[in-house]
Amino acid sequence: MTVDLTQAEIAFPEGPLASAPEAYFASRLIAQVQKEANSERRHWLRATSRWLVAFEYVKELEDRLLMRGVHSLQREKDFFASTIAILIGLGRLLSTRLRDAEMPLEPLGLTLADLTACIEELEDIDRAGRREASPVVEAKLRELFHATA
Amino acid sequence: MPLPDAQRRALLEAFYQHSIACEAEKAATKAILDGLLDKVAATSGLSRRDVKDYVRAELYPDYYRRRRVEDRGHL
Repeated sequence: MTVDLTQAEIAFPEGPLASAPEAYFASRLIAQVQKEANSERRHWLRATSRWLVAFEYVKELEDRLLMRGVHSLQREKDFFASTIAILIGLGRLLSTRLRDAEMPLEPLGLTLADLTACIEELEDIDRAGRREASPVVEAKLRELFHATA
Repeated sequence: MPLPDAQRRALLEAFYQHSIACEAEKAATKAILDGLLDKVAATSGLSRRDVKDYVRAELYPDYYRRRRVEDRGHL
């Protein structure tokens, strides 16, 4: 086994302790932590990649439902609504973990802001599906959008 | 006061562009959409969320269908 001098120096900046047992064990410990951290990073990146694939499928389903309009099957609508709810929950969890770990998403070709925007889009779809507004607000909205300028 | 047609169209188009954008462009298209929603909310006195939810639920489906057909026609 070899000792990574840089890691030992990081662990013991006060003196040249590369050959000391403490330096050896510290460097091994640091290497292990780094390995686990990298493994965890890969894990969350893989999870994000999978989430994005699921997001694409859901967007395709949304397209189908919108194009069919009133002719959409109820079970498809139900599946869509429940899948969105699950994806929102998982997306929030992913987003929190990625942010806490300050993990860049460049390997996936996007930023954390893009991922957050994807999650928020799903939240918007979910909220609009069960929208409720007070009669006063509803009347204002109808006036705002339905009357011609 | 009713929203001018141009502003209404711009808002619906921003919804559409945000919806069809690839994941890597979502933050940028969302910023455009949010900017338009903020303007509508500010001039109408309604909350951005009320406006957003109303447009998505009531107006957007028809607009989406029309734009999607247009887009596919161009392919």
